[in-house]
Amino acid sequence: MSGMPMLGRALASLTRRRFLLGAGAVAGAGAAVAAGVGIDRAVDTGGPAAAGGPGAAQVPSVPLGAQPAGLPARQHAWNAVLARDQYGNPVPPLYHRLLFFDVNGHPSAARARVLEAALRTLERAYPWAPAGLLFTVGWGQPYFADALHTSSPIPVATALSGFELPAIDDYHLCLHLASDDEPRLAAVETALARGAPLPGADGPLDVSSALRWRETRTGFIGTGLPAERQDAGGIPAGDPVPAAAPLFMGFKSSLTRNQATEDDVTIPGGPFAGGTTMHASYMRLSLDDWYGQLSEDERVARMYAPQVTLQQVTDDFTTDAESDPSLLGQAISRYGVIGHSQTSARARRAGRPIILRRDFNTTDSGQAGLHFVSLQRTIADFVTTRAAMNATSAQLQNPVITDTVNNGINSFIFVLKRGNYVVPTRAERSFPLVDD
Amino acid sequence: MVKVDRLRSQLRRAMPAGFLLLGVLIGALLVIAFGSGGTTSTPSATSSSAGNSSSSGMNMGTGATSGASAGGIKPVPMQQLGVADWQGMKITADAMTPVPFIVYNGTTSQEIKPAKNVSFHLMVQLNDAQTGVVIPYASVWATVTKGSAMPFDNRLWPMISRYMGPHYGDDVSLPGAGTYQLTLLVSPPVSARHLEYQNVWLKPHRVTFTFHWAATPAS
Repeated sequence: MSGMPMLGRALASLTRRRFLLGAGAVAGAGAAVAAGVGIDRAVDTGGPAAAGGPGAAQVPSVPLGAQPAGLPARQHAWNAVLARDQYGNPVPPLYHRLLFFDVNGHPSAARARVLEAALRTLERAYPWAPAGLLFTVGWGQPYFADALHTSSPIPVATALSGFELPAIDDYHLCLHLASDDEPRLAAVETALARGAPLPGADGPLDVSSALRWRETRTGFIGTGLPAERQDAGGIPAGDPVPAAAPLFMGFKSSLTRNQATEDDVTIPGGPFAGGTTMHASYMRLSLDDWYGQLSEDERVARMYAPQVTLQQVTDDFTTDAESDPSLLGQAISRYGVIGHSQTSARARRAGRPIILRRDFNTTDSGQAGLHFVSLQRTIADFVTTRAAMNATSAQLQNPVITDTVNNGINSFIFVLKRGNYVVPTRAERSFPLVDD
Repeated sequence: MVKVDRLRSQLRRAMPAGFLLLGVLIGALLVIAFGSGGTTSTPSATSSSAGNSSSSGMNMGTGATSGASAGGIKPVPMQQLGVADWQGMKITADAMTPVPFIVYNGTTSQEIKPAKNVSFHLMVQLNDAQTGVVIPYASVWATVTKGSAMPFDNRLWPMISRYMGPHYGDDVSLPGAGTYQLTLLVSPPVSARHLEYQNVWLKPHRVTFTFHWAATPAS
């Protein structure tokens, strides 16, 4: 996190606004919180939007609505409600959607109220679970720097390898929706962005007066789903994706010890204490050679390590897939191939990964891809992990390995976009740092 | 699969001495099967730069597939798809006869044969624009698009051949004639550098060429 010392004054006003919003008694409070205590203002009193600035919208007065009891204080606390597989690994929600917005006008308490009311409506409409709806609200560097004109707690995303030139997202807000009900996500999107009615909702949902929708990315993860959707660019003919694979590349990604815990990725102090940071990248998959040229053993070598066998993956990699990074030197010198898990595992701290993957596949634009959503305590942790995955120095030890040849999965992913966000606590999720 | 020793023997026979080291290290042997000695060059395409990218275009004409079929693959006279300059690095993209080639992963190797519907072998060369010396140790990702279609999207293999030397290549299949965009993402060379190269090619560079493909599939 950068810029934290400069945020002390903002924190004071933020806390006051949260009190007014009545969102302070979420987790563990027992009964539902009363609606809209003390903030039932009808007009937006701040900024260019109120004065009819460019792109600004009239901000309606909306009832804030009650919030169901027992919701976790951390937006990113999903694991407790996820199903478990036979080994105890959490099973991620099947369908995901990333909605990207900019602030419509100037950040203000009234706009915060519009967003908060909509999110509370969703919380009342659906249980906090994959069978219902899970979501996080993250705020990007442009929100802080351009809309609030303050220092950002997270840096602008950058290219993270010598072989990528991604577009850098400049969105103010990213809303990550997840559910086992795919149509529900589309319905929620149209309700939020365009004011369409949502069956079962009992409160306001249209956020268009506060936020301007800019982009949507969709996807899925789970046994059978990639195989069902493999008729996409980047996947060779012949239905090569295994029927039971949860991801297009044919292997699992969410083993419990191959992930940071939610505690690990929680920001310990400062204005965003209790929150986390999120990196969202969009990668195109190019699997012609992955399935067309490589045997299953060769795919195992590149996904895990050349010392790993297919039988190990099947029988032993039940809760972890560290792939022994201490053998990386041997992989480089003896095998001339290095594996993704093996190189990435070098970024672990006290034996645990430092990022929590919430990634999912996609066929957006007809192309197989991966929306890599990752949570971590600081964006630097993500950068560290990605640098380990790049394994740039391997080429200097054995030039048969280049940055994209015989180097993990680097030659099968093409990074299109990157963006960084801070994910506040549930109480602070709507327009953080906006003064009352 | 072929054994390593056999591959190395092939490498020694196939390469000029100056390229032997690179070939063993990078490990991708291009077996020239057709047409290289008789290829014809087209005039260099014009190029322009804007910001961090450059583009050029050329018409490949209508005679790209003339010639007799051999082994099910028709010879494709070598034709330039585009040329660009990046901080003194000359980036050249050519289309030529599709070829089988061998890739090497350190302990095993594999022959990659052209697909039945292959159109041409895409060859990208990186050279010092002043001296013509080949610049190795980079990587090139090539994407061919036509409207929203993306018939090719792959990292090119670092490759060597007797007549074309070190380059980056792969066989490409296009769905038919038409105007296509070829986008190359060239990464900085990963190597130690003499001082004259210390301040260039430090970040990836994207270059886009527009070309017209008039040929029918080569097979």
